[in-house]
Amino acid sequence: MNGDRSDPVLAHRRTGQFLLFGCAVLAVAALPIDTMTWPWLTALLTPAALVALLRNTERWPFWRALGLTLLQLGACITALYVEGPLPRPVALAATLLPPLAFVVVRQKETDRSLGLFLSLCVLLVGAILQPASPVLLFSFVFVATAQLHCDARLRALELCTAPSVKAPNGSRRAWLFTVLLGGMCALVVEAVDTALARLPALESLRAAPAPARDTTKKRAPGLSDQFELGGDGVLSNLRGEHLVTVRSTDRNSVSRRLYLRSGFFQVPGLDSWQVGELHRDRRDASTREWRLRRPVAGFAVQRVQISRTPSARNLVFVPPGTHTILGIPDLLGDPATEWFRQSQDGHLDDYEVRFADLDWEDPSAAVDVSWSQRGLLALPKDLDRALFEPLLRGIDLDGDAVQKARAIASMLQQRCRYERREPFGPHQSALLNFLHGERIGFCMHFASAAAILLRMAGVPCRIGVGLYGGESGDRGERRYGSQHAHAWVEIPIADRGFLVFDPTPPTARGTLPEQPALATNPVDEEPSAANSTFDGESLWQFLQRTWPYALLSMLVLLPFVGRKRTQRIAAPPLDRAVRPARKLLATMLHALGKRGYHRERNTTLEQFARELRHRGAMSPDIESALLAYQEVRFGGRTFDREREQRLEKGIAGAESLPVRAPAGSPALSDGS
Amino acid sequence: MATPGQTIEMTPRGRTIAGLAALALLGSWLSGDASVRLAAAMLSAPLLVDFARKPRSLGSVKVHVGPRRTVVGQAFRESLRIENHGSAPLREVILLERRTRSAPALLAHAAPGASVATLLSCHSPERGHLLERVFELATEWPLGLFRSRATAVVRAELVAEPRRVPTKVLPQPNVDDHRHDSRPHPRHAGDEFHALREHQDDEDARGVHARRSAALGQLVRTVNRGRSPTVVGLVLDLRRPPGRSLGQGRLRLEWSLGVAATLVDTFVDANCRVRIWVLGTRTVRTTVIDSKSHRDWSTFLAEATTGPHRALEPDALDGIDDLADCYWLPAGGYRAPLDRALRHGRLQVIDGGQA
Repeated sequence: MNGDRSDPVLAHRRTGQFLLFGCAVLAVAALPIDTMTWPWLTALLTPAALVALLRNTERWPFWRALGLTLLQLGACITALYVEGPLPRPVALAATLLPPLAFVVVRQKETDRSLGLFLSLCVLLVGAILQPASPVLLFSFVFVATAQLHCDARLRALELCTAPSVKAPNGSRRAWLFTVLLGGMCALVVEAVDTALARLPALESLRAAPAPARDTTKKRAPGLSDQFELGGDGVLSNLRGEHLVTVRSTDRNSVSRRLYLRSGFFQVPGLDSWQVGELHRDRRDASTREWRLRRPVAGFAVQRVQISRTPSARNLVFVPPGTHTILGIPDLLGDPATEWFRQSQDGHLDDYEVRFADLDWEDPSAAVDVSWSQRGLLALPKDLDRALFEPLLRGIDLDGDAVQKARAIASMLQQRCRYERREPFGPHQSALLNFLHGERIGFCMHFASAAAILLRMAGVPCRIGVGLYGGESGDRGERRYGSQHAHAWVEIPIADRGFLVFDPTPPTARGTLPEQPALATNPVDEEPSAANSTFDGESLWQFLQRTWPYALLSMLVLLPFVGRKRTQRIAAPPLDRAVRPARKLLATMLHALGKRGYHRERNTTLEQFARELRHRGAMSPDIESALLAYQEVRFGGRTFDREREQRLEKGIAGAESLPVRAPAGSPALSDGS
Repeated sequence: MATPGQTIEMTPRGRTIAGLAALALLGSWLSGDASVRLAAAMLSAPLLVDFARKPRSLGSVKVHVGPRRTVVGQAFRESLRIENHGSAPLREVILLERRTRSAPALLAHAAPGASVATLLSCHSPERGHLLERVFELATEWPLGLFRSRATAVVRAELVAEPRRVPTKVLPQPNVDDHRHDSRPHPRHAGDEFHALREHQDDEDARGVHARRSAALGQLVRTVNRGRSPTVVGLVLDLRRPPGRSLGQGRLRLEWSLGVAATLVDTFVDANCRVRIWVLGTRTVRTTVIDSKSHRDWSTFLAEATTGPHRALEPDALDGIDDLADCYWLPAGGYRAPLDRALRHGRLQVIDGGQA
């Protein structure tokens, strides 16, 4: 159309269309293409886009809706036949794609906001299904911000009809500012996301049960006899209580790299491992020394003194490579598997452990293959090998155990990201969501995945749990709390016991984000009300009550109560004298519609005239005819011969307009 | 100058996004889910950026506008000058005046300390006399989720005179009758062409003879002669009938005021003197003899309103009998039969029903 370049409204409208299209493309790009395949994408996007392109159908909304439904149905059946059904989570995104395609292509005024919102929804569904690339996310934020900015300008331009309008030009400075806005929004997204991540999630508060009331379940502070993913993960719900202090009796400082095992799990499951069979042996109360094996020659014997708090009363922490335990009279254990416990009513004495800092990657170390027959190569019964075998591609299965373990750890650390929460994804299993869904998880996921893959690669192994890291004290000792709980993989080494192979990224081992407000001991009888300013349990009880929600709802609704609604000025009733003028106006509008200038529903004559002016289709005759009708309809003037002639001239002017191409140029939209 | 109270409010779109962001924030706190957290961050980011970048210097905008005299319903373009006295530039500010139903004007950009001129397309739908004009400034820049709004009150007079009525519906003074009247009438401008003369600068341009002026190359005007009344009386009765409320009869009042304005315009154009009696809460007498008194009369009509019924003072209409032509406008709806019956001269009632 003539004058499109100089018309700021049209220029901004086209820029907005382009940006909205960009938002939609970025949102669709966030969907997992391996599950949302091209046939399905085509089937979901094309029919709605095609129908939106046929602007002449807007006059028959029912038939248009019916046609679109049939088209969409046909396309989906075809995609179902060609590609098979969509996974359930992906089907959620599928419901959003047709309306997104429709509004992005149709581009009426209300479609701009709706399209942006639908794009955001599709993007978020994509982010749920698979970890979205940061570049993609920031690109979306950038383009969406630019679209909002452009839309705000467009609304201001559409609102102003005064001749003094000086439209904002598309200068380089304006574009630079748009870029700046997009950058600011991207930074704020990151900042808000980080801030929210640092907030204590209510779910974690709720998941920590109060010891006084949890009488049915035997509870251990962070370290239990269960290893379960996908639910209230033991390690993900730790509270930061002090458990153990380790001092070196050799007057050396205790190494930060010291692993303290409290338990292990041998029987595999996708999301739940079991301890397995134990051959328990109880030492006499008078025997205070338990020698497991002879010290390994060539490695220095280290001695540490371990003190426990009442929270860790029945747990016995030993480093891998331990050969002697001293000072626990009623020790219960299985020397072969290195499982130890102390009875609940036993004395809480300090004990000494003698061990050697052994490395299983040492060339002299050999995997004890006898454990292969004792269940350390077993795989979960419900394991879908098709989901795990692709992960072993690229790993030399004929190599030695060290090479396999290193390759598996490297693959896991590249594929998955460490984050202390359960992964989401399309699978029922948390481990599968860790590997194929959201690909995030913590040490339990890394250890579980690595153990299964190692067993598939023929390396016997098990999962060890305990403490790692700790905080150094003034005298070289290290203090461990349940925030230092950790899980790793243990590999049986001949004559050396079970040694540690840790697939978790080194920077994330045995760490927990600081939660100073939560650093109360959950196993204490009752937290002191004077010292506790924020207690998760009481907050949860508070949130379970009804009245806070009722009060909140009232506060939200209060501003709307008693608010006067804006009085709408009702149009005067149609007078009998106006009818001939209305007939002539209808004839003129019909003639305009035939030439491609349709007046949309709920569009006032002023808005329609403005659109005609933007299109360059407003001739003086048409303008005069519209004015004549308005004078009769709203101005109280009589419909005389002069006004009748003006309307007839308007009809002639409308009929003399050239026919506008129906497709390729956007339809007239209501300017309300 | 703008009042200091600048408000920032949410637009409907902003309210929707804020509601969704609040839900997402609550959801992220309840669940700790990263996707919900991402949704909350993406929904709150534009709100925070828009609020942070919203112009806050609308309150320091000064608007300058001159006095305006217009007629109800007549479109006019108001020339405004806007000065930005704030420290930040203003962008995409929408300016409008609700009293004159102005079409919004867009100020694309105003740097700090800059002065921008703009035009507002206005029309006054109501009669009145304002001493202050109120302009609204609003901007949704940059993202349209919040709206910054301020009001500028300018000390500038706006007189909206009554809408004129078509002269053909009004009774014309009968010139022929005056010629046979025994009372003396000085010869004055009438309907008959007499001569052409040079146009003076201070004269009304409507008397200029266009063709002759074009032919001669200078402005000349026609001089008419003939008999026409030189003094005309007009009684504008604003009293409501007994027992009627003051809030009714608006249409009659507006129409009658329009008739009064049109009549006076017509007579002044014909160089007649108009003696006026206004019967409202008190009786006011005035005479329109020149442009200044004509303006005062128009301003009075812009402010006129009906009054309660009351009996006239005995001398309220003194002098009206001396006039050959006199018009009575029952603008308040009270036809005053007794008062009119006491008059002996020509007294013509112009009522809405007759027009």
